[in-house]
Amino acid sequence: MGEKTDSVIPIDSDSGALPMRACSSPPADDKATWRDARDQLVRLAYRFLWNHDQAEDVAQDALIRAWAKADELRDRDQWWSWVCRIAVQRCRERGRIRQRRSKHEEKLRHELREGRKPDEPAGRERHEALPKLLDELPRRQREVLVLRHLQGMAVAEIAGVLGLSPSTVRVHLMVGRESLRRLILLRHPEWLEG
Amino acid sequence: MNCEEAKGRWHEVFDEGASDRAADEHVRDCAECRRYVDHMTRIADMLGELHRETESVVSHRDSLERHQAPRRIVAIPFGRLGWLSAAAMVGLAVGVALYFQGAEADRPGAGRGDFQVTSDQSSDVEATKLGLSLHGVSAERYLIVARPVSEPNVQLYRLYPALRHEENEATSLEGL
Repeated sequence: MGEKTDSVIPIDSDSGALPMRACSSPPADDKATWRDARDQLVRLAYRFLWNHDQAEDVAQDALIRAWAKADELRDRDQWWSWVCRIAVQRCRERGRIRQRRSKHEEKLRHELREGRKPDEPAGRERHEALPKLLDELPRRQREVLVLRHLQGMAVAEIAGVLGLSPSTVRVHLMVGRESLRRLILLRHPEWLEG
Repeated sequence: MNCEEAKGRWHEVFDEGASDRAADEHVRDCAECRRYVDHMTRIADMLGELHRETESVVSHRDSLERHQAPRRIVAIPFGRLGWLSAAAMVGLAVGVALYFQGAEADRPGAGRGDFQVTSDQSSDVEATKLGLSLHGVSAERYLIVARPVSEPNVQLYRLYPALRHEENEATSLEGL
C-alpha cells in the first residue's frame, strides 16, 4: 500500500488555479483574486456538468450570491467552502436539466488531443466514457469522487463543502470507488484487467 | 486482519496518507485483495487523467476566450428554431428602420429631400406653394430660395439631396 499525499491531485500552478486554502476568506476588492476564484469555480462546475458555458454560469452565479451575502457569513474562514457549496448546489440543479455537451465542446476536446501527444485509443474511449459512468453513481458518491479526484480537495475540505462529517465523506468515497469499480467491470472490464 | 478490513484501510491510506503495515502484509498475501487494490489504483489513475484533461479543456477555453473572443460567437449553437428567430428579428429590425426612415422623410423641414425656404414667412408660403406646384417634378427635389414676392426674379435651384449644392439648373420663376 503506497504513501499518499494530502491531496490526490496537486493544484497545477501553471493553470492559474487558486489553492483552496488561499481563498478561505472573501477576496478583497482585487480583480485578480476574484478572477482566480471564478476560474477555480469554473473548473469545479465543469467537472460536474461537462459543459463550459454552464460551468461559467454556475461560477458567476455562486460568486454573485457570495458577494451579496458575504456579511451574513458568521465564520469568514469558511468562505471558500461556502462558495463551493453554492456552486455544487447550482450544479445539482442544472444537472437535472443538463444537456449534452455542445458540438463546440467536442471540437475543442478534439483539437486539444490533436495538439497533444496522441492518446492511445483506450485512453480516448475512457475520457469519453468515464464521465458518463460517474453520472450513473448516486449523487453523494459522485460528488465526493469529483471533489476528491477531479478537483483535488482533501477529505476535510469536501466535508466543509458538502456539509458532512469527514468520516461520512470517507465512507462515501470508499463506497463510490467500489460502485465505480463495479460499473467499469460491467461495461469496460478491459480498463482494469488489461 | 480480514479482507474487508484491509480494503477499508486501503481507502483510509489513500485519502489520509497514513500507512498501515498490517494491511500491506495482508494485501501482499491475498490475491483477491491484491486485485482489488490494483483496480482501485487504476481507477484513481484514470480519474487523475480525467482531471488533467478537464484542466486542459478549461484552461484552453479560457485562453481562447481571452485572445480569440470572436470564435465563441461563431460557435453559438443555434438550432433551427434559433436561426428562424434570428431571421425574424433581423427582418423586424429592417422593417422598423424603413418605417422610421419614411416617417423622417415625410417630416417637413428635415431629412432627405426636403425643400427649404430661406426668406420671410409670407414668401415661404408662396415659395412652398410654388415648389409643390412644379408639375411633373417632385417638389422635394428642389431647394427654393425665395425673395419677397415684389421681386420678380425669384430663383429656383435644383438640389440633389446628397450634394446640397445650389449650382444646378438655376431657373427664374418667370420662366416656369
